[in-house]
Amino acid sequence: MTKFSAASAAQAGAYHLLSRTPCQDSVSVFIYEEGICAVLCDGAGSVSRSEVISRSVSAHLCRAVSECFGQWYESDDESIRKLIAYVADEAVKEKDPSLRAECTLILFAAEKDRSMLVHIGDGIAGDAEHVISLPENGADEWQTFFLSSESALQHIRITRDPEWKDLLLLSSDGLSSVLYDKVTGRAAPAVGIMREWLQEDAAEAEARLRKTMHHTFMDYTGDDMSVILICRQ
Amino acid sequence: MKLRDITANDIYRGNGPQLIVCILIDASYSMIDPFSDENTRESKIKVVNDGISAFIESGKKDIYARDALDVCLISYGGEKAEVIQEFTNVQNIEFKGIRPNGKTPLKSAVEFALDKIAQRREYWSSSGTSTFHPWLIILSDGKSDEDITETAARLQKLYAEHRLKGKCVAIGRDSDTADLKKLAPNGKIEEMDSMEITSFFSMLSKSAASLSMSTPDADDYGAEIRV
Repeated sequence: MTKFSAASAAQAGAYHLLSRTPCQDSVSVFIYEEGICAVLCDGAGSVSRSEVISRSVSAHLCRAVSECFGQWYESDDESIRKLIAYVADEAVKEKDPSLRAECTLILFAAEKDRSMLVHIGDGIAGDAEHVISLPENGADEWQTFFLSSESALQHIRITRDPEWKDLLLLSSDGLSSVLYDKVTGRAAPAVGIMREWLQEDAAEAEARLRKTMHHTFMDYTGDDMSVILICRQ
Repeated sequence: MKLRDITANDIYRGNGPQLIVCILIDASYSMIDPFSDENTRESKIKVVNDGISAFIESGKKDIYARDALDVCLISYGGEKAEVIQEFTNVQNIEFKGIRPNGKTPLKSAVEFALDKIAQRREYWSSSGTSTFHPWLIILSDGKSDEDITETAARLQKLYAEHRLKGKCVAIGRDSDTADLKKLAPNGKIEEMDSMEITSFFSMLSKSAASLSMSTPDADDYGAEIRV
């Protein structure tokens, strides 16, 4: 029997703390019998109410995928892309009809021995050794793709049954360059330490994640920080 | 099992978004002259050198800017532009000052700087490192010895396409600013006396630090560097 454990945290970076802007990263995790759905969204920095957008999208997608993972998994890629974009759009419209799903997405869902990784925009997914899913930026390297982008359906990347060892880590762009080397894709020693935390205890790992973001990571990124750690037994 | 804490030695540093800053410094003979204002008897080049030194030292000390600031210093005097400092992280720079040396080849210097900025952006892009809009800062106290019409058009196109941010500073309030205005975003230049030059570099380092704490996608699309 496959069992999953997870720890997650999202925290405003120094830039947003100083400008009194809420954290625009959001994480949602739901663990159930033999299954998990973990979603990380990073709201567009230039958009107002970005925190509402990322929170709504991550929560709705987490619920929608975990409720019927089997159907999602068995659908073709094109249908999955359209469904992801649709659920995200509905989620933000429910909050405010003027909003658009201007956020990136990294979603990992698994049930028993089947799993799926969905990624659009920047941020990184990786294991304790190397990167599994790289960020994708636009024509200009400071631009990225959001679920609301006109070309979103061409840029939602779907990987079925991604291979990873011991730990799967999802991170927004604020921490991806701190945790993985951009050239070699190798994980920093910090990722191995996080794996030890989660293998010991999920609640303890979550507390340590928050503390480390505040006391260590914040010195090396001004951006919002969010991480989801996942282990399977 | 005793759990380990994560320290700075366990993460990658200097791997984040880069702010490309190229400073073009007039090194013509007229920079030996003192400012016409009464605040100082120092030469223009001495005040500019001190300002650049302060900018670099401030960048080294700022915990956010120090990993993001990618700086190149180019002087133009005599017949051509000269690289005083190739693009490098601000922490690696030991600035020893610039000595004036002849004419004002402003056109060649700007063209040279634009090529270097383009190469640098390509360098970062090829390693997957994101960059903010590059900054070009032009300091001059006089008229160019070359026709700058074509260069000004190239520069204005880059501003309009949001591929570059610029700031043009006239050193001394008695400078001939006609050419500098053609190179500035919206034709807007800053005319500065000695005190304002010192203050400019202080504000410049604060702007760079503030920007480097944000993210490239939050960078605005204005053509002028906000100082």
